[in-house]
Parts: sequence; C-alpha cells; structure tokens
Amino acid sequence: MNKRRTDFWKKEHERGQEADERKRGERVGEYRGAAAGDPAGRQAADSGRAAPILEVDNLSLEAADSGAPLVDGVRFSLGRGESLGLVGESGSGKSLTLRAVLGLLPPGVRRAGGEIRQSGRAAMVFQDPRSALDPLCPVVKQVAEVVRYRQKKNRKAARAEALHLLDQLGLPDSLGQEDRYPHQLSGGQCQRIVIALALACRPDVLLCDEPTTALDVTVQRQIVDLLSRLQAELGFALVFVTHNLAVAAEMCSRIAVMQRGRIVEEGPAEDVLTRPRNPYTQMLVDAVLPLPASAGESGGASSDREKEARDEHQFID
Amino acid sequence: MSTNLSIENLTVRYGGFTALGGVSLEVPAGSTLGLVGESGSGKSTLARTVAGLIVPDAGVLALGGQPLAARRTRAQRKQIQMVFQNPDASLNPRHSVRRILSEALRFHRVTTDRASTERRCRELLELVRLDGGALDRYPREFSGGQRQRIAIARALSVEPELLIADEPTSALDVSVQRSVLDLLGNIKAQLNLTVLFISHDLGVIHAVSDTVAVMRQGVLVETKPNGEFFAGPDTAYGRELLAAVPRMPAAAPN
Repeated sequence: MNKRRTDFWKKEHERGQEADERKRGERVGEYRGAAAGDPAGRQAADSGRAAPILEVDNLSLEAADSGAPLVDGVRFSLGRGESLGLVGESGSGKSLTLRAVLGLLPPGVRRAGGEIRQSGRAAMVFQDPRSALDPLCPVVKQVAEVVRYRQKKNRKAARAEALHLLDQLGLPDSLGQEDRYPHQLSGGQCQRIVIALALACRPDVLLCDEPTTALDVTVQRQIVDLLSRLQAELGFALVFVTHNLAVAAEMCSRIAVMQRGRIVEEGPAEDVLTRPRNPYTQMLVDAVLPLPASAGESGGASSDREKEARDEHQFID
Repeated sequence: MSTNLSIENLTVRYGGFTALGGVSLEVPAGSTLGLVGESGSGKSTLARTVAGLIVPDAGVLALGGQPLAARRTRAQRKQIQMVFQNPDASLNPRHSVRRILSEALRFHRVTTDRASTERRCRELLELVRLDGGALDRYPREFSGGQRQRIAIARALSVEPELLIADEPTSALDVSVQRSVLDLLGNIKAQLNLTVLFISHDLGVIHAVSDTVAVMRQGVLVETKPNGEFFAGPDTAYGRELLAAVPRMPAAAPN
C-alpha cells in the first residue's frame, strides 16, 4: 500500500519535472537564438564565414611561482563544424591551452593575459580513458548521470538517452541488459564511453586531448573514423591535440604547430605537412617513420572493421 | 659475440587465461626481430619469459644452442638484458647514474675494483652519447630521451648477447624517438647484438627490424622478412594492421 503510494508520487514528480524541462528547453532555445542574432554574429556571417564558436585570443599562461611563461600569445578561432589539430612535442603547451579553454588549469599555472571567447558548450575527451572513468561505477550509469545533469532529464529518460548514445558509438547492445564496470571493457571501448560522456554534454566544441595515444593502431583507426563520422553528423567543432602528425592530418582541416608555448606555424593540414615553412615543423615531419607507400593497400578496410566489431562483441559477451 | 635465440612451443598461462599459446620463433644471431601486435596479444609476456622474469608452463628456450632452464645461472642472466618502455619506472629515482650503472657491473662481476668500474661507467655513457658529468646526477635531472639512454647504457653494461627492447620509444617524442632508434641501431651493429624489438608502431618496426613477427591473442600469426611483410602480409590480420596506420599526406613534388 505504502509502496504504491510512493510510486505514484514519484511518477507525479517526474511528470512535473518533464514539464519543467520542456519550459527550460524552450528558454535555452530562446537564449541561443538571441545569442546567434547578435550584431557581431551577423557581421561574421555576412563576411562569408560562420561566427566563431571558440576564439582564443593572445592567450598566455605562466607558472604561478616563478612567472615562467608556459603558453605565449596563442591565438586561433574555430567555427561550427571546423576542426583544428594542435601538434607539437611534450611540454609545448598543447594540453595547457585546451585546459585553459575548459577553465581546468592545473594548480600552479595561472592565466597571464589574453581572452577566450566561447559561445556554446565545450566538452573534453581525455588521453587515458581508464583514469577518466570512475572505476566503481558501471559505465551506462556514468553516462546516464551526465545526461541527467547536463540535459536535465529524469532517470529513465537519461538512461534511454545514454543507451542511444552508446549505440551510436558502436558499443554492444548487451550493455542495456547488463551494465559493466570500466575494467570489464577493452581500452577502445572505454575510450568510446569517454567520448559518450563528452557528447552527453551536447557540446558545441569537442576538445580532444590525445584521445588515441594510449590505444592500439587498429583501435586508433576505429576511434578516428568514429570521431570524423560524429563530427559530420552532429556538426560540433573539434580541437584535436596530438603528437601524431598523421592522425592530425586525417582528422583536421587545419593544423597549428606548437613549440615551447607558441604557435610557430598554422595553416591547412596538407600545406603544413607537405610544404612546411618553419624548420621545427620540417623537423617533426622528417621524424615521422614512414611505411613504404604500397604497404597494406590490398587490405579491405571495411570488412576488417566488421571483423573487429565482432571481436569486441566476443570480448564483452 | 652474438648468439641466436630459439623459442619452441612456448606456453604461458595466467590462471585460466592463456597468454602465450605455443609460440615458436627463431632469431638468427646478429639480427633484429620486430614483434608487433595489439595490447594483450602477448608481446610483453614473450619478452619477459625470454628474459627469465616469467617461468613458462611449457616450451623450450635456447640461446646459442644452450637451453635456458626455469632457474637460470648468473651467466645466463647476464647474457640477456632488457630495456623497458618507461625509463621513469625502471630507474631508481634515489640512485645517482653512477650507482645505477655500477650496481649491475658489480653484481655480475664485470669489473672488480673502483677504478675500473668508474672507467667502464664513463665508456658506457660515451656509448650512449652522454657526457661523463652525468655520473653524479639523478634520473630526474635528465629528459625522457636521456633517461632512456641511461637505461640502455645499464642494459649494455654487462655485455649481453641478446637485448630485449620492450617498446623503448613509445613514451618519447617523435624527434627523440629517432635519435634513440639511431643510437640502438649503431650500438647493435657495433656490438653485434641479437635484438628482440617490441613495438606497436609499425613505422618503428619497419625502420629497425630484419624480420617482422605479428602476434595476436597469444599466438604468432605471421613471421616474414621485413621487406616482404610491408610489401604484402600473408594474413588478413597483418593487412588489417597495416591498413590501420594513419598516413601522412604525400609530399608535394618540388
């Protein structure tokens, strides 16, 4: 008796919440419309290019104790659906730049100057999927939690949305019947979950911090293809930090090369990599160990990928 | 001084999980075998078993015709040395470079007195192109590439015949990777070492190895000479691996 009553009130409550959400959604829509209609945005649209979603202007970061410059005068801008690759060696300030965009600067680093203008939400995909996930929480629950708080949905709707996202990312349906912990999934599957977490925020800008560095080549290939597909479908802007020039070339239309906190060269991906103007870029390009041009061209990529998907299913079942 | 390594039907199980299921390999003296495969394919287990860190459940290992038993003699341990992926984890942060290098020398009684140990340490640093002043410094004072050179110097200090390199450049930047690989290549030619080189980077494997061996789920899928493998692997999995490597846009003709 008692239980039935609480159930009833729970349902009532949820119904109320849904109504609230609808209103809130409309309000957000109005707000976005207003933002898009501002004079600056219109001007940019008039000049033939969409208003930038993310603009980093002369960003400088320094060490809080010594004042040593870590990132120096970095500027770039990104419109809807565009992708920028930030490449460079470790310590060149790639990751710090990304973290500054999110406002997640590590302790001991402070902003010395510059501005970051952002219209819309940003979400980040981290390098090591296992450390980005809560090891004590099953993965569908983790994704549903983000959906619930970011998209203001009730538990049930959030779970459905989470499962839809996971399905979109090519994770097996069996997760719907039986939730799993991160340690029960492979590295590639974990990285898909992390991408799902980022997409659950409905980002306008997706910041990727070396998302494929910890993964095998075959899994890297899947994640790169997946991100390209999702970007085409959902139209978010992408900042892709990597030290792998070839991955940057496949993912991004533009590439910025960073060295010691500065952008030393920026341009269309192909130009930067085939006709580098900066000696540092040239050095990076020369350091790539190539495969012979004819290698592996006979491989049927699509059938192989299907096979890979089957194997992953085997792993999880 | 160089000896061939032969591995026959090597099997390693962790509980119910078969990490290596009957691997047989032959590495000729003075050559480099490049071992590729995805994580969990058993590459590192194979390396650790050869190094004697894991006792195999079945199979025969032999170096230069001498069988390597489960319990190895000090001389056998000296013959096989290993360079690990992460130099930060393999060098003791509280030991100076002198101590790191001389510990192995003294343990294997390569040098007997302080003066000859000192001389040998300096020789080793010269071999990996670090200056003698590095002896009194600590690992944290070096860059990642320099630390990996110190790890290589330590592995070479006892004059091994087989060097196992388990992803020695995966933690390094591309420019540093090049210099460490060049260094390894030179040293290998100079000392005529047999090398077992593990990497998941096919570009690196292409650059260093004479023979390529592909592993998957604890089984050797394919073994082929370098040129032939990259021209056309026999197995679907080999082709899949090659196809997955991201390509640089072709350089514009100047």
